[in-house]
Formats: sequence, C-alpha cells, structure tokens
Amino acid sequence: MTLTILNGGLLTTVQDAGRLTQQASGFGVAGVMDPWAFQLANLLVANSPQAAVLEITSVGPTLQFNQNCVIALTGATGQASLDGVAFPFYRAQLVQAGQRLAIKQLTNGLRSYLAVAGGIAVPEVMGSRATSTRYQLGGFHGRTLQSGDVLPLATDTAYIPSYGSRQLTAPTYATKQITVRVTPGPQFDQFSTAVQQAFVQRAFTISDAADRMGYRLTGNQLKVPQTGNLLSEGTFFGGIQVPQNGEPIILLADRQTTGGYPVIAVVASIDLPLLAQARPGMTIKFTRITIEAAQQLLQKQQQHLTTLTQQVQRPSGHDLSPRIAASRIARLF
Amino acid sequence: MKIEEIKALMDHMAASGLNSLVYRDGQTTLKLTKTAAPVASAAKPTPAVQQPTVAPKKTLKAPLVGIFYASATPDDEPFVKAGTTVKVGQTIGIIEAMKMMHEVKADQAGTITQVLVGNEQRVGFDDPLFELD
Repeated sequence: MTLTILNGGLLTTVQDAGRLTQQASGFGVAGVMDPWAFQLANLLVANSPQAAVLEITSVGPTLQFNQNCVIALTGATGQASLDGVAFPFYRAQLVQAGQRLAIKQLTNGLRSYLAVAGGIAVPEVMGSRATSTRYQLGGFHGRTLQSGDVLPLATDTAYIPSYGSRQLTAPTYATKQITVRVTPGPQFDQFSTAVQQAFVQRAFTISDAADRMGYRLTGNQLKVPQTGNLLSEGTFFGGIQVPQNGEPIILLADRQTTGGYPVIAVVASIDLPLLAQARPGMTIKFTRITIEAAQQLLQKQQQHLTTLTQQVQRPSGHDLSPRIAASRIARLF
Repeated sequence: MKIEEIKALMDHMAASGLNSLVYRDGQTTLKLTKTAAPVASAAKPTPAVQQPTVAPKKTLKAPLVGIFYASATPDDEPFVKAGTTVKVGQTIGIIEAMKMMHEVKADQAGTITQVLVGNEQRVGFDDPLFELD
C-alpha cells in the first residue's frame, strides 16, 4: 500500500483542498494551486473530490508503485513515461507493482496533479493532508518529496468502475499572456479612479518573485491610497494586494492568514487555474467582472463538472473486472 | 602578356561565373572558355554540401526554467568559465525557480569552450548554457 519516490523533481508535495478551518489560529490554508485540475485528477480515478494528490511543479518526480493501482495525471502536460513507454495525461491508467513512472519536463502549463485511486494516505493534520512547507506541517513530514520517501496509499485495490471511459481532453495553456477576470476587492474604492482604470488597462508581468505563496507583478506601479494604516484582515486565494511600493501581489495557496495592504481586486475563482499554470515572465492582464458574473461562471463550471462526471462514468468495453479475488486466483492457473 | 596576368584573368573568370572571355591588345588575342563541368561547380558554391558535415556541438543544457546564476553569490567567482574542465556531476551554475535555488550539474564531461548564457539571464528547458569541446 505504498509508492516510493525515486527522485523528487523540482517541487512535489502532497496536497488536497487545503486546511480551511484553522485560519483563525494562524494556520494557512495551503492546498492545491489549481483547484480545477485537482478535481479532474480525482474524478479520473473515481476518488472523492477531496482526496490527497501529488502536486508536481515544472519538472516532475520519478516514482515506483509498490502495488497495482490506478492513477491519473492532469493539469500541466509534458514528458512522462512508465518503464520507458510514453505515459498519457488526462486518462486513468492501471499500473503494476514495480513499475516506474518518470515525469520530466512540463512544457504545457506549470503544475500537474497525480491522483492515485483511493488517495495518498498521509495522516490528516487539522482536517487536511495538504503540505504547508512554510509551517513544515501536514503532507509528508511537512516538506517537499525527496528520493527515498515512501508514501502510504489509502487502498490496495487496483479497481475503479468504468475504467475505459475515464479520460478527458487536456487543455492548452497560454505561454505568453493570460487575461484574468477579477472582482473589486474590499479596498477597491480607496484607490483613485486613475489607478482603478490603469489596473485593468495596463499589462503586468509575473516577476520571478512567484511561488505557491503569491506572485509579485511588475511593469506598473499603482499609487497606493494614503488612508493611514489598515487594520489587518483575513486573506483569500487570489486576493491582489498593493503594498507601498505599488507592485501588486496576488496571494495564492501558501499565503499568510492575514494582511494589512489594501486589496484592489480578487481573482475570480474560475480563473485561479490560469495563474497556477502561468510562469514568471508571462504577461498578465486583468478584466473586471461583477461578483454575480463570477458566481455564475463558477456555477457553470460545476455544471460542466457534472457533465464530465457522467461522461467518465459510462460503462465501456475496456473496464476492469471488479472481481479482484477471482482475477487473482485466475492468474495462478 | 605575362603568364601571371593570364592566371589572374582565369581566377577572376572562375569567380565571376562568366562562361567565355576574349582579351585583345596590340599583338595578342586571348580567348578563355569554360567547359560545362567547372561552370556548374563554380556557379554553385558549396555551402549546401558542407552543412551536414558540421558536427553538432556538445552543450550543457538548462534542466529547469528560471533565472541562471553563474556564481554562488554576486561576489564569488563563476562556478565555471571558458577553459574550465568539468566532470559529470560538477556544479556549473544555479537556476532559480519558484524562489528556490537549484544547482545545475554537468551531465557530460569536457572543457568549456564558450559560455552561452549571461548571469541572471532567464533560461528555458534545454536552453544551451555552455559549449563543450
């Protein structure tokens, strides 16, 4: 019931939807950077939507499965091979005990998600299996995965229903520019009209100060309202704060729990994956939508997820046999 | 007319692509005519033939996307420079990605003939960093 990390890759961590309930005590949420790709990975292997997965960044790990299991890769795509044979993204795949999956360079997008049927069974810490490297908490000993790590899996059953239908189309991620929809932030009205307009008219660049905590944007300095010190407020995924130097910071999964800079806008949840898959050096433009529009977009995405769920649950001619004990006995003869 | 002058005329003609040339002065008439085969080779200089024979140069490539640093700190000497002999596994630079510093190790041995990347330059997957002999 394990898999072994042979090479950790650039930055591979165990993540789930995040540690949402302990922010009042100062514990950040962490969790996946691309919630959509995360949901699809779990969908492909018939997991609960909250099951823990591996988040893989830019250059992937090499791992060995110590049991038969069903896995799927979503999010960024690139080079992956199973025992030297090209391995597909966006498709449930049965892998055999002893097989080695090598995920190399992710060229379309930045972050991939590897789901294993049943989920990665690291212990829950405060209701979540997400790794917070900043607090060295959760996931696998609170850190990125390294060669030699052995991860527990929740099940030793290599079976999922409707195996043959569990595939989806991989998206093509932008390589140069993304346009991200935002809603006005809590302090939007404190910025001058000129700054409010400049924010949506000008293009910013994702700087190299970009990680799971946040992306600092350069290219334009926004004039910060001089309204005295703000009281610290809770932060949120996609909040765009403007510190005194005028260079906006988009707060992401590993953000701190509170912040005192004015928040000009908030990335609509639907567009968080665009940020998760964008690289430093890319151009980013913002377009303003209403909160209602953002909610409708999210509702539409949930309906789309329902459609996809039905699609991958169709029986096919290539399904796995649910009679696991019987098939094991059959192999003996 | 001197033999050197005739040779010079022949060279000029070969380089020019002219097929025939008639030279006259007081008592001399000289007629130079190219035969078919040399015309073909003179008219078509040979870069197309030479290209495939150029061996691809050995390079050390970037394994990551990020910012390349030639030295450990701005005050330090670069890890390697032109003329440095590198072994497999030797640190040849640092690439910063996701705000983390990753040492870049040589995956082949040799002597560096050329540095192809500037300090603090952004590099992509497999961008050549150094040329080896």
